[in-house]
Amino acid sequence: LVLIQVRGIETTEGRGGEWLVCPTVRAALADLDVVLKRAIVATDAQLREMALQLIRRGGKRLRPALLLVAAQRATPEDPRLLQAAAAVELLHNATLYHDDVMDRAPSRRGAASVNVLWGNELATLAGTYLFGRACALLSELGDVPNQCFSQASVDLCTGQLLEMENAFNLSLTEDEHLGILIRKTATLFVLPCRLGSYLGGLSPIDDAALVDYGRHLGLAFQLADDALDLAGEASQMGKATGTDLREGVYSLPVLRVLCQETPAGKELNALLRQACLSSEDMQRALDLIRRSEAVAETLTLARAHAEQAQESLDGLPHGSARQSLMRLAEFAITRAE
Amino acid sequence: MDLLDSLSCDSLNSPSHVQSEMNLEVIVVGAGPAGSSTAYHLAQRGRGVLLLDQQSFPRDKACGDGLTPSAVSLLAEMGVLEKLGEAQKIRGLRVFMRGKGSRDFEYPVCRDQPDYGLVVPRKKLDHALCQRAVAAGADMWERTRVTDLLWTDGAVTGVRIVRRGRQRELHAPVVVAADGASSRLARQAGLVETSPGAQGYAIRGYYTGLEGLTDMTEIYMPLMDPSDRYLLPSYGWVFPAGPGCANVGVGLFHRSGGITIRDLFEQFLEALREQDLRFRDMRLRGTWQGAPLRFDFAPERCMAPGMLIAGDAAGLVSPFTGEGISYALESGKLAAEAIDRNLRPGMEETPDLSDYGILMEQQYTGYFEAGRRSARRYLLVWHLLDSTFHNERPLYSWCRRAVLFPEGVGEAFPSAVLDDVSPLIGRRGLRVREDLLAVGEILLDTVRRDWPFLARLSASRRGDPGIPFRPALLLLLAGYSGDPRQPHLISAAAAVELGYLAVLAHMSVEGSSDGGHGSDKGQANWGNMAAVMLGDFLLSKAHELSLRAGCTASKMIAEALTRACEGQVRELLSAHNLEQTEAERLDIIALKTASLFELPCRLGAYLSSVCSAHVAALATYGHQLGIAFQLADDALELAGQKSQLGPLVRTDSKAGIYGLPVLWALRRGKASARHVRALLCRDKLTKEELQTLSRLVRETGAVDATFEIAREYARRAQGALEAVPAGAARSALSRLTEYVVSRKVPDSPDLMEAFMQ
Repeated sequence: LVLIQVRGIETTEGRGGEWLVCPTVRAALADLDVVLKRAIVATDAQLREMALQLIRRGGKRLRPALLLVAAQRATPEDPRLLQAAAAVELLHNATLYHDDVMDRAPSRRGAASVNVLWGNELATLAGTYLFGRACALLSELGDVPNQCFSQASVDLCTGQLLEMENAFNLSLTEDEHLGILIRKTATLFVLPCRLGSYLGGLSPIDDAALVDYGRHLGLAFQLADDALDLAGEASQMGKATGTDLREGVYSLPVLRVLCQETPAGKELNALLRQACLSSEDMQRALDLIRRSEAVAETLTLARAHAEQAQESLDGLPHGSARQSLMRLAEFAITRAE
Repeated sequence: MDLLDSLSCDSLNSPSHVQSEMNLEVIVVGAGPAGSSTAYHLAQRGRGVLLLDQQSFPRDKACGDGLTPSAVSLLAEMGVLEKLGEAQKIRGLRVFMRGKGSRDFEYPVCRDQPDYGLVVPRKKLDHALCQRAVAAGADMWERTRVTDLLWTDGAVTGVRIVRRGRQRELHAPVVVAADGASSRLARQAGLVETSPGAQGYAIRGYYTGLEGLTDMTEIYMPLMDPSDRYLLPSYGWVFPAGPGCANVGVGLFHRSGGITIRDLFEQFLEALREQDLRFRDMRLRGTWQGAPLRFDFAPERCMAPGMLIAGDAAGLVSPFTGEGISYALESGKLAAEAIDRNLRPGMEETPDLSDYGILMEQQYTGYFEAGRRSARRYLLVWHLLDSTFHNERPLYSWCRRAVLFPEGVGEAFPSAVLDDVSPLIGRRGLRVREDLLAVGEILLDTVRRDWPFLARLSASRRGDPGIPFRPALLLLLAGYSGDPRQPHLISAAAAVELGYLAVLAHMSVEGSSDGGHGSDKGQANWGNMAAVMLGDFLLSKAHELSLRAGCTASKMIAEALTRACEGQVRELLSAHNLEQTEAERLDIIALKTASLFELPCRLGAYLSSVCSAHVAALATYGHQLGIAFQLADDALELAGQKSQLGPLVRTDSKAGIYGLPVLWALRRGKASARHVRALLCRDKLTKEELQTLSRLVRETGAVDATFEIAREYARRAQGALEAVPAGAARSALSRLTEYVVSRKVPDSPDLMEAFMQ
């Protein structure tokens, strides 16, 4: 099922690097690639090539950066921090490999996806390999980081299973839907916050604040993406939403229209109940959603989460770390403007 | 006293049994399969039981009349089977998936169950069942309507009945509600989740004049609405019921807008008549009959103080096939056993029957819970079945069986392919059985909370599984060889097993997106989605579980899995490579298979030992054992025997993955090598060509040579054990080195033990 969060962030990251205003973190990030490459220890050259494929293509290393920033007071050169940051990036990459197999995605980060280049079986194995390497890296950091990591991967997976289990569920409630997003999307924002805060030796209060921050940030990113997909240029509009409609995965704007007792709500229900969705039906469904208030409402909700993320930071000391986090939350919702 | 006089007057065949009010211990309401089974098993145990039903028997009942093998074995146990006379025997189930053709699922041959089912009209079956209960000593009142439960201090203490136009009260320490899907008593006790309006419904008729029926029951899923646009939460069935006759019907999981069950049935019959020659001249015999269906079983809703609920009344109907009779018989038996355990004779207060709920949960959890969710989300289940209907990869065949044969799954996956090696383990000094059971419990518990359906992954609860040759066994034995009191052995073993299940799930991912079966491009591949997600989930749970044994344990597991991944990658990359050397193949095996054998041995030793030489020795043992196992597997496959661990180690010449014997034959097979090469160069091998291939390879002596190499690795494994302290665990490990090559387990464990220990 399409991991919308990933798509949105990946494609807009290029412009998003400006949120990071900690020079030390920027400098530390430069060493991350060395750690990542060292983690891929396979003796088989081809497996190394596959496993490093997406890492080589770049991306702004949003999650490792978040981890280093969340650690605040620690020196970002701390090898433990970089190791944790690398593990998070590997886990994130592992999910991309597997998502692309599941979604039959043709491309990723501006080139053919790993599944297109090597086939589903090898892409799946490469993803699993990355997951294994992430576990191995993390397990060297002690019990607490290991537990955070394990909790996060269980959450990610149960979120996806819940999403699949609820495919074609036209009466999925908003709470259930947001619960799935928290596990499936926000987890990969919460994890770097938790690891950073633990390794940075933050107080339990600051730790809780950062976990809140990560969750709201993740939701803001995801909800903004879902809204933006339906608000863009007509030619691109609803591309992701359309694919998801076919596969029974409904984003918040869709669910909002579905539960309305309006003519539009009833029509959308009738359309989506069909066993097969024709392209005309799909277009009609997208029109119904786009013309409703639901897209604007979703963006409003995204904004609210971004603000809550910022408010979570109230108790943290002022400085370039906090400023970066504030800007990142802002960035989550202003990408369209 | 009026009660005493009238008590036995309806009791069939046994006018001499007079049930006095004094020893009336259990009132069973409803004399269908669940009620009669409860009454029979209670009466067998000498309990005073009164069976009530509002109708008089024999009576007709809307049902598919299908009895699964497990229902047949429960009937045999009750001595009812021989009373049924001539009945249509059933070899298995044929499923027609809309637009995908059909698939046969034959009932498996297994130790504790017959390999056939039956179709018996309910009129005959239910009559035989309640007669049997009465013969065993139960009293039965027919034409007795139960109107209300009677409560005392929050517990059920009896029922109010109407009989011969008169109302009266009956009291007993326990009431069993077996009053069917629309159970009045369960509703009165507040134990029904589904509102009457949302209940499912089924309808059937007996049809004659049919030609060409087989000994398979047939299920058609899913059905469409008349406009052909909406999938309905429904299925149709055709169950052969004697020469030229069938019980035909449809079931609707829940009321769905715009269509009645009668319209749906009409439409189904019309489709059969038009599209299937066998049904061209079918005629209805008798009339249609309908009955409600409920799928809302939940362990916490199958009992109240003083009351148990069994059968359809507890919502025990398969939401995938509509089957309910075996669950009714079984839950009746469980209810009787729970009552017999907890109700002391002469006891007047309400007994504590909570173990019934626990047993029901153990027996049915996963299947019904998932079913209940899936009944609402039938589309997903059908998409998955549909996407993978003709896919033979292990996950999907398991999934199909899990959906269609809940009671038989454990037999099919994965323990059925594992040998019972208990004679090799010995009985003295090792608590392997208990610990393996504990591992099973952890596995179940770990997956159940998040994804109940997976609970069915664990081995069957029916019958004795023996001591299967599996990773947990190696881990435990390695652990026993050190300090066996190590508390984390069991969770580590469970973590390793979960990890391997994950590998297995991921192996079901298909190479091409269209699945090779012509499903449209651009359509979701639900099979791949499920395989990847399930594998990831199991992997994450394995990691979580491994943390109980500490960071080092989880690192060991992660590293072994990445090595196995690397081995699989190299194997896939070397597919169809005829130039691959034997050494390269051995390298792949060392990664792909040996890592998975090495891990449990290393981990078990690490957890229970302080001596690093001991750990290293057992790691070497596992590594060599794994290579020996894989080589023997390659050789056995060519010798025409079925491979044991199946997909985890199977080599597949069709997919271009060649085992050592094939590579050996290619290099040293002299004249045959050319033939072998020519065959392997073909695009697709037919079954005959594969057989020729096997024969050619065998003739070169490659199989014998491979066995010899396997034996060499087994000897190395044996040698590694010298550094391990002597004892029962080491003896067992030592015997396994012979087993992995021969795959033979001696029949006589005691003799074996006498000689070996």
